[in-house]
Amino acid sequence: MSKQYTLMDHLQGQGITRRGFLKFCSITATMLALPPSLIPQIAKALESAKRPSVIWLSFQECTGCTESITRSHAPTIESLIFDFISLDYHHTLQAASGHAAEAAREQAMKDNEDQYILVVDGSIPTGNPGFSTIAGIDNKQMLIDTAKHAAAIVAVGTCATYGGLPHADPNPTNAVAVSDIIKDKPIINVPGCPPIPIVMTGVLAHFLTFGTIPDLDDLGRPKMFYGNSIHDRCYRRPFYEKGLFAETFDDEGAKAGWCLFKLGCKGPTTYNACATAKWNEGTSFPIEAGAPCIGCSQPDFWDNGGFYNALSQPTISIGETAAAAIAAGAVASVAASAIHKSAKAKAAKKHHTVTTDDME
Amino acid sequence: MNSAVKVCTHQNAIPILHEIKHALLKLAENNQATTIDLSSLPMTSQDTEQLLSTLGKGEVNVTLTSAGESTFWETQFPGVWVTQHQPHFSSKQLTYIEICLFPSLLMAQQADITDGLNRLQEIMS
Amino acid sequence: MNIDSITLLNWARGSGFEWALAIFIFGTLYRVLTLLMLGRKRNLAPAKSAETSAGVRTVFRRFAPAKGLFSKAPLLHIAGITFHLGFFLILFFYTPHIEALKTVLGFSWPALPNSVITATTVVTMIAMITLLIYRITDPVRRFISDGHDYFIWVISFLPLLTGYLAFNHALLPYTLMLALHILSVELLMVLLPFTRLGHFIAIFFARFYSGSDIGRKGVSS
Ligand code: SF4
Repeated sequence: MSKQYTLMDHLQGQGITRRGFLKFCSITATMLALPPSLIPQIAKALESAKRPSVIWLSFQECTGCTESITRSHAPTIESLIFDFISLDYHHTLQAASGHAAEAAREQAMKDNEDQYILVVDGSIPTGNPGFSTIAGIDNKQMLIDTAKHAAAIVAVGTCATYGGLPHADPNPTNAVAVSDIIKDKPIINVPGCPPIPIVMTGVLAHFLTFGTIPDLDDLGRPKMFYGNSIHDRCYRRPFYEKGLFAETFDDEGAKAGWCLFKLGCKGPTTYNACATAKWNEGTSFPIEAGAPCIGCSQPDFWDNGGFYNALSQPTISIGETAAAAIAAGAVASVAASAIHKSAKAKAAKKHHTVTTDDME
Repeated sequence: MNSAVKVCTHQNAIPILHEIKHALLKLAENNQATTIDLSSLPMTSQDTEQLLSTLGKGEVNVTLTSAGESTFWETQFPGVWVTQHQPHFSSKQLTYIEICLFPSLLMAQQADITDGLNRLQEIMS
Repeated sequence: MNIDSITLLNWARGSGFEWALAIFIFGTLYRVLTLLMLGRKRNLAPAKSAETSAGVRTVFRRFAPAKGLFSKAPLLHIAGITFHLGFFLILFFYTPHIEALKTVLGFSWPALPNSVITATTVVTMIAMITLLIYRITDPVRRFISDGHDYFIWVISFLPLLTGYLAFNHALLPYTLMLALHILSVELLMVLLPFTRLGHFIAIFFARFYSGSDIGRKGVSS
């Protein structure tokens, strides 16, 4: 086997010096949300790091995740593809299509057996296999086949991680998450609708750097990016604590930047890096733009009872339930009273009036 | 110096100034260097702007052109440096505050020295 | 699928709440209607004064403790009143609660500042603990208490405790704590009409009946 092409080889090929490499390492630390004190370790790891082969499969999805990753700014998508990974199959981004594309996937799988990373966006329909197919292969089959010799799987976006929009009530295609089908491989969940671009690239950079799975939380998300809730890092938090809430999107409170809880903010129960990593090349994040967090990196966020309803509000419509309960209550109490009255009447009938004569 | 701190009123800049003060103390006493990565902190662009303007500019200015351009400058507080990378692979500038005698990235690296030595010998032979 | 805290929270805000609300409405209505349909024996004696107004008066007047009783056990009275008042304030004047009630009732009203609610919660919990200690240490109260009384103490205390911990992001991750808080409230809603806590509604009937009874006899209540 020929010597694998390492990241160092690649950078040296571009004429980058050792000093340039060390700079690269310090920037990588930032991308991985690691403290600068770890730079020497990162340098050591990167010296021998090989660019992993990446196969990217898209199932029932809207391509928003791919749209998002192409907006990554650190690294840019070009740099990600050329410096960090070897993107061997991605049917939206690659030039080839049809059988040529499938051949590229099969080739990459063979060349990098048990080494490649499988990235998946989109959920998998388990109803009719014909609901979603690629080159005549249904999604579930393609996932099983491609996952078989993957080193690890990165499920990207809320559809691949938790089912997302296709899984939302009434889930017509019986859509499920990657983790519902693949049980014997390490899976890194990178949810979000879409995920933050630099979080996706950061996870891949972590792979390149350390060749390991990052620390995951109980929903399978890397703790370095999903360790804090939006609310924990929200700059509007002081207003929440004081109980100062915007009531509408254009009242005085909204203009003064008060907390968006009453407008439906799901920040307190949403774990993601939006408040620090931000969007659009670090410009801002939804709450900074005046919109409540919709909780898009949490399971079933579509079915949480409305994006603009407060977290403390029930998610069901009350009317019918209340009417049914009232009717049932009325019927039950009338019935109970009737039973009670007849019992009373019976008891009264059995009652003999006792006179003084009886006592003698 | 007190007046400079007063200029910096935005909430997130103050704790970082405190951190810089502590780091500078460590540098003065034990020659211990610290790096603060501003992109990992929940800062708004106004926060960063205010912090940098409070720190001001000192007497050293360096440009590094390797894997994208980087600028280094010493602030008006000797030992406190600002490093800004414009990585070749990124479209966003990354800003760090380094509290050290001299940013280590600017020092010549052993591998590069050897490489340069070879090239020099080649020219001279 | 394993149950994670967000799924639990979603259930608590959805089906869980629906069931709890339905049972609460059913139970309360059942208690009220059966109570009303029991009827009262006709009193053949001529009324000495208006009974209805006396009954209504009693409903409100009994909110104030009787003088003699109060001085006999001031701590018990203060703790009792504090607990009831505190519970009422927290339930009806904390912003997220108003938002929740708005969904059920369709209208809302101004909230108290969060700092007031947090302080009230602490005071209310202290009052409840005082009452519990009193119940356990006082021989007479201990004698007349049974498991039921301690059980309803626990289910009334849980919403306060979990709510306080959730607000302060303490002990458990917020999502889980919030889910537990809502579930504890739902437990309370379900059991409220069917336990001694049913006095939340029955007490008004009891007061009215006894007030109108003695009012009819010409005694000023
Ligand atoms: S806006 Fe949302 S995330 Fe920010 S403090 Fe308010 S509730 Fe929390």
